[in-house]
Amino acid sequence: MTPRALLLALTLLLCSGWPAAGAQTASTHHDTVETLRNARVLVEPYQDTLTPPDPTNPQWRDTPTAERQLNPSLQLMRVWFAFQFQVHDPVDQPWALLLTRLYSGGTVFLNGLPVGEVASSSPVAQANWLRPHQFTLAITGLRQGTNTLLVAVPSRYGQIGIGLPSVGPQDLIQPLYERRHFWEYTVALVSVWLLMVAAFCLLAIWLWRRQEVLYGLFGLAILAWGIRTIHHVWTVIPLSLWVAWRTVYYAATGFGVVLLCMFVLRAGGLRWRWAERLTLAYAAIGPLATLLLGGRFEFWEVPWYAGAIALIGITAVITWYRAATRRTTRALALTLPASTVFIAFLHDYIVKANAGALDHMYIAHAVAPMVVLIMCLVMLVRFVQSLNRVEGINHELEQRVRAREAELHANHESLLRMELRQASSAERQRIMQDMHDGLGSQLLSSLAMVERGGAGQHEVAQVLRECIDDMRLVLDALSPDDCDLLSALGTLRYRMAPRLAAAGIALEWQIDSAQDSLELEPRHALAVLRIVQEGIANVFKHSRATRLSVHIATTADALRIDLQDNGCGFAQSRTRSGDIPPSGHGLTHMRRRAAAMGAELDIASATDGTRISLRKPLVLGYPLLAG
Amino acid sequence: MSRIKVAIVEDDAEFRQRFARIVQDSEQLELVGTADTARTGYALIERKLADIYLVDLGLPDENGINLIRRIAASQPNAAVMVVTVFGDDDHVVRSIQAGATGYLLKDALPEEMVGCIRALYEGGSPVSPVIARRVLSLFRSTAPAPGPSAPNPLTQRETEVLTLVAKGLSFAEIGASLEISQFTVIAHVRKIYQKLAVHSRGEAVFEARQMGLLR
Repeated sequence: MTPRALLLALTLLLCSGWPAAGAQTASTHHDTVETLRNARVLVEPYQDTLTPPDPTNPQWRDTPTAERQLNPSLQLMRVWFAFQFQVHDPVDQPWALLLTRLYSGGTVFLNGLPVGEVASSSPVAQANWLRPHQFTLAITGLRQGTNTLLVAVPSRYGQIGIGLPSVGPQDLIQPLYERRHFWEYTVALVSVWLLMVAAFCLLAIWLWRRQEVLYGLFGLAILAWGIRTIHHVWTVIPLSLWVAWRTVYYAATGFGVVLLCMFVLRAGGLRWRWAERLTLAYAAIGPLATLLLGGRFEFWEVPWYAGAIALIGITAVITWYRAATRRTTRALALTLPASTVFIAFLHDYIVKANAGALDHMYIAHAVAPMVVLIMCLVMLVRFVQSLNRVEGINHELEQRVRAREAELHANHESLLRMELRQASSAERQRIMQDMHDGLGSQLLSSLAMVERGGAGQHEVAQVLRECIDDMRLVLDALSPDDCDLLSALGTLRYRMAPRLAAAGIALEWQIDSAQDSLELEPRHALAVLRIVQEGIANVFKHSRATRLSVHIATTADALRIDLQDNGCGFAQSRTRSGDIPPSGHGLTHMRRRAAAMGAELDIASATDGTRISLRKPLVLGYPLLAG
Repeated sequence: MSRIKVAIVEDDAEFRQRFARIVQDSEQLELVGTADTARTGYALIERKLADIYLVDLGLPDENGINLIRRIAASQPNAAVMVVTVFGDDDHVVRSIQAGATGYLLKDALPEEMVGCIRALYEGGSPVSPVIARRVLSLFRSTAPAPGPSAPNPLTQRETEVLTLVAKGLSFAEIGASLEISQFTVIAHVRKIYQKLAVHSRGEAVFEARQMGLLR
């Protein structure tokens, strides 16, 4: 058994227990408690003074006690009820009189002496005691043999009655009174509070979440029921408020019924707009007619109720049909409110319409808390289900997000790995190309030279030295711990200085740089180093210069290197050993290298010296993965 | 003027002969012995004849570092030049830490080689920008370490000198830049060499202690 089903079963048990408990009380101590079924009745106009009428007055009539006296004028009348009961044995304890329907209040006389009074309808007020009353009959007031009870009831209802009086020893009457008082008054009081609080909560939910129309409907329905139930606890109403209060009462009753039906049907997934509008209009008839007719609507009250009961009955049948076809716990739960309310209303209708035959109390107010309980349960189940669903969705969503994240992460990682691999492979390719074009071809040509036998020791040594110098540049540029061009240029200078000194060339080396280091991609650094080295080599190979100035300047966006010598220029250059003139391969290489790294190279040669200017634009930041 | 006495420990016959010829050809230098292994090298240094030792590290029987250490310990008046291919490898720094005060490139021109030996003999120590950077980073990396490892032993001035060397400036230019004489710069560089050697000995002791060899 699921917890939900258990709760439902408990609720059903609770509900079925109520009427049973009420039924039991009625039969207790039947033997010793006497029910006074026959009475004499005298109806007279209301007077301010309360004087018991003369027993010999010819207007006294014999009548069954429970039968109501008609008052078609709806004027305030005073109805006298007279009963007789026998006391056979000596009395050793107080007796009591239980009046179940002294709804208009009144005064009780025992053997001509007043024994109690309940605030009653008067010219300025309307009494509405929907609860039992008990009057103590003192030992001293009781007689052996026949005793006479006289009850004065002032009332302006169309039907005036006091139900079936019971009389007997007080300790037997007391429990009867208490049970009935509990069901008629205490339960009503609890209902008012419960319904109001529940309505408040439901309407608050609806206000926050306007799309939850069901909560709103149910909240309004039980608010109406709560207001209607005030009728059971508000006892003496000033006459000036009477019509207004009745209007509110009928409105609460009518709309309470219709809204409950709408709620039950909509909760079951049924929504018929026209039916809803029609029934709402029907509900409005009661209060509107009361406003128009005042107390006279009392005569049409019963047929109007009949229509409402029919509505509930139809709703109950629909819900039962749905429950039978759907066979869900929810559908089954939804049959309960309509059915219960239908039974309660039918019961109250019968009590009201034919009060003479029945001494029952009204029960509609008592089933309200039960309906609320069931419906709250339905709502709760719905709420928990949607909560579970949301949590499930959240969980699933979370998992999906996590999976997606992991996927993205993996993608990113593999992309990064691929890029790194590509970058390093590109770098490797560049170095290989470099070795191939530079060192490789140099070594091959010197090999060819040696094999031809045309090369002297000096030439071979020179070619090999150039190879070694170039290799040093490659190592400097690729040095893993610093990609700093300024350092590499410093190293180049340090290496070339002794040779220039040996060749009698004064070197002037100047650096204008705001920063301490200049990071370049290794291949670009290598290209710059080669151009500078080539330039310096040209100076001491061809120029016959005595002075070389190297000026390195960096700004935020460019690197500029100027080599200026005071040699003879390219035009006059004749090498010491008949080398290729510098306008050949050397300069071509320099230009090609500058172009490859996006730099400008200016070579100006005149008879009084040569100037080589390299200008390379710098990209901000070091583009690690740039092609 | 007496000639500078030079001894050569080099296993490669080609280079050994080349170095020997350059020394012999020079009027300023005198060759007092050559060795082609560490073993013969130890015998050579026992005789304590040379002012300058040229030592190659890649000897067939033993690493030249121990040889350098032995010379530095036993002959404070002699100087060691380590022979290197490019002058920028870690061997140079480790040789300096072992007590070498200079290095010689294998492809040095005869006049360069003689100049280097002379400079070393006269108290100068060559430092290339690459070596300067290595030394700077060596001390920088040990500087913040607490405990027995010594804090950066270089003075601010010595660091400045090294920084300028690393940029490729000559000693003369460094002197001008720092407003000190060229000889003061050379003195600073010598001091740096000594500190490098002392520092490495301190580290050796520390390491030995760590390994439980010393108590």
